[in-house]
Amino acid sequence: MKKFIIERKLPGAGNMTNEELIAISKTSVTVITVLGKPYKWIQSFVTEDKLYCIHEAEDENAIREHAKCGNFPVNKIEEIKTIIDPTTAEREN
Amino acid sequence: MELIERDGFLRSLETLFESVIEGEGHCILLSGEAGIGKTSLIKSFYKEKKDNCKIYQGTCDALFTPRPLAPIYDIIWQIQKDTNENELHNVDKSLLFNQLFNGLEQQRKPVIIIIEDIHWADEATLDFIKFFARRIGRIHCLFILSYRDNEILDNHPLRNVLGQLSPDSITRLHLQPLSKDAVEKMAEERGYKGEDVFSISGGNPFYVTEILASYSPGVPDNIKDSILSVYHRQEKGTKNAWEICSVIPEGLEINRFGKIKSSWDEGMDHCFALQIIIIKKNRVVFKHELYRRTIEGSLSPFKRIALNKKMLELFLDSFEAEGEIERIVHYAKNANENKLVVKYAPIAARQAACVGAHIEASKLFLTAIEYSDGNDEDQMVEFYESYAYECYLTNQTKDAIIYQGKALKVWQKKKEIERAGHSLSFLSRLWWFNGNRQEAEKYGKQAIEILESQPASKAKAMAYSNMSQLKMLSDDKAECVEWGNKAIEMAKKIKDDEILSHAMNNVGSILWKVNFSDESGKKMLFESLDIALKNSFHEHAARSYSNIASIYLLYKEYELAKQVLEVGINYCEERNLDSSKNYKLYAKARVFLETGDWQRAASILENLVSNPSQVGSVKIAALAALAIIKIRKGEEDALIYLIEAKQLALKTNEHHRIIPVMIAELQYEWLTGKQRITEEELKLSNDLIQRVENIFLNSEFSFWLQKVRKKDLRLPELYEPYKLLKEGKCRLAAAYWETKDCPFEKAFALYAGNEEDKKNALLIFQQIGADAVYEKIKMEMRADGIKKIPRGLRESTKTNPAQLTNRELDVLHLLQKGIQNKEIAGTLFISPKTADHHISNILFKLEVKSRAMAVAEAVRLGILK
Repeated sequence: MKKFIIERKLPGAGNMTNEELIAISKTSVTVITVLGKPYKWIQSFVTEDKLYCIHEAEDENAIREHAKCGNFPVNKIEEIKTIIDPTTAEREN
Repeated sequence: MELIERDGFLRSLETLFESVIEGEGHCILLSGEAGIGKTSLIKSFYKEKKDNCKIYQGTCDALFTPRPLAPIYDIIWQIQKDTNENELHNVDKSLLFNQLFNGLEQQRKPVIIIIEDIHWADEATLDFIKFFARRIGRIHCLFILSYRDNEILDNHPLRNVLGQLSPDSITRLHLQPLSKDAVEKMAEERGYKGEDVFSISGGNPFYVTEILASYSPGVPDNIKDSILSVYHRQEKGTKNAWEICSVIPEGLEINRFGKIKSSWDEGMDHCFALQIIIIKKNRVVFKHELYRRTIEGSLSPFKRIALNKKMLELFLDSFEAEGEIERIVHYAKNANENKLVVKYAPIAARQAACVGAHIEASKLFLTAIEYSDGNDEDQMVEFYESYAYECYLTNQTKDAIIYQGKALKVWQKKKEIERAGHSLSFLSRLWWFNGNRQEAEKYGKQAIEILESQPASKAKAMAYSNMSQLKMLSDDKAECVEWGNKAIEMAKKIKDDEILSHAMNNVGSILWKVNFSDESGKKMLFESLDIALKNSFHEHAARSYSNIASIYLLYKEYELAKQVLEVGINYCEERNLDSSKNYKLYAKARVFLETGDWQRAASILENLVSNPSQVGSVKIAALAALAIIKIRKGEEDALIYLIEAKQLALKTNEHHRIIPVMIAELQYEWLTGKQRITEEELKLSNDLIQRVENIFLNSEFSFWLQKVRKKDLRLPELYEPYKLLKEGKCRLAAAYWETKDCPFEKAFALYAGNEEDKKNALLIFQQIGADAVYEKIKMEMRADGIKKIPRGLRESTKTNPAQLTNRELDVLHLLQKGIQNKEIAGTLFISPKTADHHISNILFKLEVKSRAMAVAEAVRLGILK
């Protein structure tokens, strides 16, 4: 499976109430269970007007299908090639 | 409502209005951030004038793409009501503008036309503003425009428009925030601490008023809270009303409110009572846009989407009757209704393109692309091509290339050879515009190759003509003629006048350029102009004017060049052909530069260079020309322009871009003694000169190379005056330059002569303002032991005893005729400030205190007759 980062434009995203956040999370999880293909939602970051989501799927199409079913906007999908953090600095080459 | 700290502005408006009643019309550009009080100022100004003049108002909406010309139609509707004229509604834009203008010319009372928030104006409305502002002098009209200067970013088309308006007929008023004192005074009257109110509001009158309107207990932490606190305290009904209003930037007509079913009916009355929502021109709006924005920004995304959906339904229902496409697109976008966006955006785009609102058209096509799911390839490719074309028209060359490239891929996949061929030709043209000749040729060749086995067609003929154009631009006569003739033959065969005109332009230009006395070339070029004019092929006609003018310019037929340029520039202005016009303006500047009128040249060039979206080829040429003037005058920023010009020119790898810059570099080296040209650059220049026949540039380059670097260039032929110089016949050379009207080159020729000639040369350099050259020459003459090098020479002191400059003499002549400052400025193409500057210099030099006395003194000294 590949890892993707998804940009979703949603003006006013930062104003979402707790109930709304719970609601969209439930939707996302539910869609994954009925999707019928390997899929994983790892994490999402909510900013003032956008959501950035990290998903694992086999290809872009799966991502779009998930979005269509859950009625989520999709503005950009990019494959994550690799992830680094401070511990990477200590790796052996 | 009392205005604070706006008396000065009101007085300015009054004064300008008085001058309009008596004489010429005037424009006022009122700028300032949101909430600074532009609308209040305007209202306060005209509220007493309703009786003795006509007032017409148009507003611009903050829709995603506004309805093109909406404020203009608004104004026309108001005028129609007054004058009962026939149907002014006309699709042809220039006819519409002219009818409106003529209608106003006939008015007896003075007129005030107000268009607010023009930072939201569509391109067609901006065209109207340009059109109107240029002719404002002819009618008794005060044209007031307001905009938010902090909301127009670098590429905003409004910047371009503002830059093009003549400074004489415009007054700019920029509203400042209230002073700390004023705010403190207002605050203390209400029992608040002035300091706090000032620090949060920044002196912005809207915010100050809101904070002080006793809405909140005490001063809030930030402005948003102040507005939202009022909002949160309301009942559900009122809140709902505000929420729905907050997503309607253009306001909703009051008679349509009934259609939006919601539980807010009771709330509306309360809203109006609070006066936060008002009715303006039949529409329900927030009293200020800042209010609307704040409340909209506080909505949860789902609420926002739901509300937009409600509005969308309203406009969809009434689409048959009202056809409010721009509103549908706006709300469909915000409601995430992708399919509707894809359906309606292209329709709106085509409508916008029809009235010349190409920026909006491009925005809408891009929206259609972005909201498509990409599955319908036939639809997508049409969107790609439409978008690319609109981008081409609006100077968004990079996007045009990307999207035409996408279209190309689709055509290739579908094996649609004709359309692929057309795409390749178009891409070739786009790359050339972008300044990349290699890519342009690459695509041009591909277009021809892929259409090779196709029968005669428009696309094929165009591919040939495009290639011939590229070859013309790189001075390759043989290939230009070869491809051009192929194009002409095919164009005649398929009876396509447009391509015929295009191809004849290319071939005629190159033949005539290479040989000025080649009548057949000249005839072909003029014929191509004829065909273009007859058939209204605007772009082709404009290009013909440019090519004719540039050949006259090349052969130094300055009068003829000027005539053609005047006609051509007018032609471009009337049809909004900005980039073609800019090229011609550059050519005009070049004429001034070469005939010694550097002031006029510099003012045109500076305008061209300061346009952020300037076409690459014009920018490079203008920078080089400006650099030359600055170098010769010894201005401090000369080097900056030179560096940028060289950097851009080298990228093009073209002879006629690089050699002029190298000539400028050589002159810089001569004047400063600092070496700047590298060995590599010298070799490159040499190569280019060997390859390209341009007797004028090549001779000039070799002259300077010899003078500065003492290197000799073998040239097959030298331009006449340079030949004479080489043979030591400098007086003859000077005489030659005299007949051509090139004072700078004439002076240099004289400088190679005897002491008397050198002194004459010095006088000329001084007259045209070549200060750095003057100083250098003076030094060299002193070093040669030449004595008596005064600022003014004995012969000239008779004609110019007070040592007035050329410009000052011009102004003095006009003063003698009794002409006022503003007209002087207009006649000499300078700004009023510059005119004033000249006049004070004149008074100083002649040692008099008034203009009348200046004229008298000048007559006494024999400067004037």
